Amino acid sequence: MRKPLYIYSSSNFYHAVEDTLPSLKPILFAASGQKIRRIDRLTQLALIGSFQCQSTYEFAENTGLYMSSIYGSLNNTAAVLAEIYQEGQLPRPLNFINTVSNAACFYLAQYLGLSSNNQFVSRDHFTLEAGLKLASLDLEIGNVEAALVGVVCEVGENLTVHRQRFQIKQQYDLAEGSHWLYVAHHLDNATAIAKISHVAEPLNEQELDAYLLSEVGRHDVSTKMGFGDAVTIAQKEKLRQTLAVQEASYASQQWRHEFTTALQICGFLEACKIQSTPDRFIYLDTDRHQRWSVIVLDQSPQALDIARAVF
Amino acid sequence: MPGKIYFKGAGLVSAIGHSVAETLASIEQERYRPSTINIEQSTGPLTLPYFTINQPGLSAGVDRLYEIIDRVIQQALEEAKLTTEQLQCAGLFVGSTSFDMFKCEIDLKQSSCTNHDIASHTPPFNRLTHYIQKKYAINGPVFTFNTACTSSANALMYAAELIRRGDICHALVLGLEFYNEVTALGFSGLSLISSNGMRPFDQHRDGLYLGEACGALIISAEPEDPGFAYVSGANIGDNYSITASNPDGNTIQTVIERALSQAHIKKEAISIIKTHGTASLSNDEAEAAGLSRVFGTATPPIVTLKPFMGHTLGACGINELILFYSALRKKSLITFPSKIADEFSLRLANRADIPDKGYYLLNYFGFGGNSTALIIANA
Repeated sequence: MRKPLYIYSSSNFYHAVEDTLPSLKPILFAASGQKIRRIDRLTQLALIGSFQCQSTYEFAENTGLYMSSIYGSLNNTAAVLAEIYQEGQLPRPLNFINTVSNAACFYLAQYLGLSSNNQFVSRDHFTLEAGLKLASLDLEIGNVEAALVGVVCEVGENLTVHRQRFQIKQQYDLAEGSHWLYVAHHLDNATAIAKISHVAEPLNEQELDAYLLSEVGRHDVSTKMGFGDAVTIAQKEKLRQTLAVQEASYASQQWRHEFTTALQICGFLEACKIQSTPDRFIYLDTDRHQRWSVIVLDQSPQALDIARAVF
Repeated sequence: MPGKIYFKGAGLVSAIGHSVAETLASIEQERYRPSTINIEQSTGPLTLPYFTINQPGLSAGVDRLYEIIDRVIQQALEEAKLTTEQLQCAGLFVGSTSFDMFKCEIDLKQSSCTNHDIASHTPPFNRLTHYIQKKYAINGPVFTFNTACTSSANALMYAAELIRRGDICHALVLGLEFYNEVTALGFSGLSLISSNGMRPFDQHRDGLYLGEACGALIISAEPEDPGFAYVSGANIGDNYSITASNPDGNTIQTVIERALSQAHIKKEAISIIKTHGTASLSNDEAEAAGLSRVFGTATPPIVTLKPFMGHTLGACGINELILFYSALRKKSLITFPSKIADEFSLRLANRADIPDKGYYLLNYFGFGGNSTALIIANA
């Protein structure tokens, strides 16, 4: 990332799933003011979060959309498979079309009034980072003026299977939702909450150490670091020593699922609105191949001024 | 003009050939007919045309997917002469619509097909990507695109931009589309499968044939002379309909003009257009309208490739790009001989249209309104 991305709006929609999947229709209606039909659960989740993000900031016309998810539309795909292999029927046309994940992007673009770049990308790790990287490319080239970057996670209807399949331990709640960041290099007459100063991935351990020392070693701000779920206690300790900063978590420890990164980032953004000292948050995560991702966020001066004036 | 990103090596396995050369030879020798598949339904078997890969030596089960992927990557690596170290540092960009849905279907057929079984087997997006990443020890950035028929075109576009920005030196870009019943039945349910032959832009067109194919392309900023290269790409979402492009051609015009603008070339510089050409009534109409809006009465000659190996959906971005530039490199032009409908001001390209050096436009449009235009050139 050559230029920092300023975050002008964000949303952090998620809920726990206990015994059964809750209906999303009333939540979607509350977020959108509209009765939106014929969409699947992934799209409902994505729409709720993105409407919430748009509610605090009017999106520029030339806004690119970058949605990422690990699994895509689990329940709709299961419905299509049931139509074919249990009922012996052709899949219902809309169900079939919704198996393509960018169907969700279509509805977002349509309801949010976006008519620019439109991408759906998947990764098992560094999922939010994937969307941020594509968005930063398009922003640097000038393809888009701003970008709506989000992660969407849907829980499968069979909760037992979902827990087994995605190796979520019993002590953690299942959760689903969508998290969105509205970012740009610069928007006139707009107040940024924070800036994403760095996004770097994938890095090996040596590259991570070198990167952290050269790129993020600032001591003029209150710096905290947060970690993804896969970072071990030993790795955390080593990183704390390398950077000599304290750990902070902006996400509840009760959640263990694909959007921990988004939860941490959005939690920091909420904190930026009330913190009256300049704050920097370094978020580190690792994947199964021991590759690393780094996201560095800084509270914006404007947000700092507002927080100082209020508090 | 942005720096070119060169095509260093390509691999292709399609229903009509298990290499680029074989696929081209089959087309030149007019050996391209779809197979017939039968899928059991509650109302009896459904018979559909489908370009399936039936190459000798391939396994029958799930392993065939991995064997095909390995073949195309090996072909691309051999041509690109990439070292192990270069491959390890490369980025991996995969585009597909259905990934390994085929495996999910096999697993389900071997189960009691309860709700529990279905929930356990819904296919993940990244299993094939992980296989490639692990087998070829790729340590660079990895992206899996799922934007319907533009998936691998979008994968190429972002791979090229990451190279241009200096994040990576090489990228391995794959388009994957394997036979599966969900896709076949879904398209049949939408009445998009042709009953009398796939003929893009033809006045009697009535739909498409599906095809499975896999293509791999290795790209780099290192110059290749003579050779072909990526120049620019543009993508936008069309909010008109989830299944069809805006028939007035407005969105298609916009995406093409953005690609031209990014290439810093005038529309007159385009020598030949590789159309998306699905042979569906509305999408061909929209594409013709979009071309007319951009080029007026001077639309460059077109080629259509889908009738030769079927519509390979998310993989068509890479598959058709490879086929197109490989044919141009041989000075051999391939296009399906549809009788273009009178209402379209389009002309099929012929060999005389191939310049020594030129720019070429490649169109891709998919479900969900995803629209991508790429511009490539002879280096």
